[in-house]
Amino acid sequence: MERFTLITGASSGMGALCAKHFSGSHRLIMASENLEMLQDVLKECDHPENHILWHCNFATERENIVQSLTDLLKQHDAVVDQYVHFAGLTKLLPLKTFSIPNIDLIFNVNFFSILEIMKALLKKSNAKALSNVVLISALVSERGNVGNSIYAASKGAMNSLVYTLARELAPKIRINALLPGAIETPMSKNLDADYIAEMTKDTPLGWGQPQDVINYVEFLLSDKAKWITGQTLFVDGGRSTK
Amino acid sequence: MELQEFINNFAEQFDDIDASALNGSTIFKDLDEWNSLVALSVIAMIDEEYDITLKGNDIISATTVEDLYNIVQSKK
Repeated sequence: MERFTLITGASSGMGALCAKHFSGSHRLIMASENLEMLQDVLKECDHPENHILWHCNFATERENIVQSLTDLLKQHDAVVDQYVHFAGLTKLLPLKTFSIPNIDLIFNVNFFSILEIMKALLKKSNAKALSNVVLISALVSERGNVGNSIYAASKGAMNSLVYTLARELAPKIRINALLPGAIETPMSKNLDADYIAEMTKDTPLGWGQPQDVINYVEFLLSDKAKWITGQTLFVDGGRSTK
Repeated sequence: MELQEFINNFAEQFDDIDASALNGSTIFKDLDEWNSLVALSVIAMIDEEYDITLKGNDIISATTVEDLYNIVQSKK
């Protein structure tokens, strides 16, 4: 059976860059709800023939995630040994204006999908292969941030999951979360100007690039990090010092 | 419900033990992988698959896989 690294959110932003970064050295399962964008990213990957696309909408197909991933692995005679969760959604709004569908959307993509994916990966057919999980959380899960309540709470839930699963799945499986601060991505370009100015002021080393996060993912996936599990690690240009 | 089907579902709760390694007379608490989390998983599986809620005492009073199967049968 071939071993694969599963990268969710692989059709855009940091997830897409991460997929391209690892495409030469890993066989990838690239997941997204947008098949067209995913296919475009695949074209830019090394060895596109080595990788598998997983078309799944975490926001609306929560009930189907386990089955969909289990079927995909079976179909390709594949197992997942490493899982990196980049899939994420945010919406900046005051809490009082958040509708239930919007709250569900953010929690499904940012948090609940991880539970379902982990359940699929911990099935007997895959559990022996799984060794490493990296979840992309956010600095705002640990620091207050106006307008980001639901996003921050979903990432806080992710952090909690890391602490518990690190103990539950040790010593065979390591799981960690990265908490990026201000990173230039398509998602951050949609923020309003005041918000961007404030983030710039608060970050001693200035805005980060996606590669700054990907380097850290690479480290956590490597044997150099073999004694690191259950951690929620800031990668934020010093912004958490405030 | 068949005993073999129950054994298959029971074995699913372990990472390293296959159904082929188990039979009705297996003393499940002697299995290397048996622990309190697996016990909770077995209770959850029985709830989901057979719609029967076991108590911790049911697990304590069972010695073999078939004992557990019989307890589930008796509650149907």
